[in-house]
Amino acid sequence: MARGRGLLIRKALEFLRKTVRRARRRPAPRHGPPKPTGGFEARPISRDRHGFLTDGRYRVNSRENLKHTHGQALAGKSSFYPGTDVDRLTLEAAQRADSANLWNLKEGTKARVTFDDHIGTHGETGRPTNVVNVYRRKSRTIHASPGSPVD
Amino acid sequence: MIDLDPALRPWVDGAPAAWDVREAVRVAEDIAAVRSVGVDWEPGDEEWVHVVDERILAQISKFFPLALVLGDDLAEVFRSRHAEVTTVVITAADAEELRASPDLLQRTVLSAGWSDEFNPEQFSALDLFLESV
Repeated sequence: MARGRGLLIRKALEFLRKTVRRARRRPAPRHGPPKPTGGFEARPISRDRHGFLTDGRYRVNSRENLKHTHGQALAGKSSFYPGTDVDRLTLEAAQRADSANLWNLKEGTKARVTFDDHIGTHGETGRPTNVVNVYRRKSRTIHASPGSPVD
Repeated sequence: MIDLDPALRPWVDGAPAAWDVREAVRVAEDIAAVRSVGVDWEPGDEEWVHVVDERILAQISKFFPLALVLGDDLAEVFRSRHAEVTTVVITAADAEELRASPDLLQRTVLSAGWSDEFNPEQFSALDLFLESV
């Protein structure tokens, strides 16, 4: 009887350990975007008459964002955590890039924006990352992907 | 308009086995060293490696030995040092001066397709880069 109880307790402990391990691996679902590090002046976000999320300066290309959206990301691509509002996060990253002058090179196509918390998983390494790469076109449409993590 | 079809056609059945991301980065770093400029690329989602100064001087594919190169002088450096790389001379990374057949794009550098904003009949090197991310 005592032996049976011991086995039961061991199994229960193992189950608890596995549950804790799984919970640690899996990020908590998000219901809003994390905040970028440092302050910036946020422009109000709304939908334009075509249904695109916009802040008046940029317009989000939701289809491009799907490549990096959890559950729809292409194989091998980085993906944002489940529950992340990727379109809103994209706009906030672009606003932060404007504010901190993060757009690269003369062409100003890309900016790496660091957030205060992990936002997704980097496709190449599988590591959590707190960097959002935001990409913009001449037409000022933008999309984003989780960037390589800052060490 | 610069037709990319002749450059893409040899790879419709796959890239040369010897070419991979390490090769692309190696070539970019070599060219950058010759010109005393930098390399900008990010492991993971970006499918092109950039040789840069204050602007993009060359854009090299991770998957195919293809480089879109700013100006004849730099293209000559590619040809003399990396003959295995097909070079296409462009006037600027954001100049919408390229075209390619949709079928060839789909079977090579844009295998995941493209967005409504991309026009196969008129696009820039940067458009290719952006569509691949």
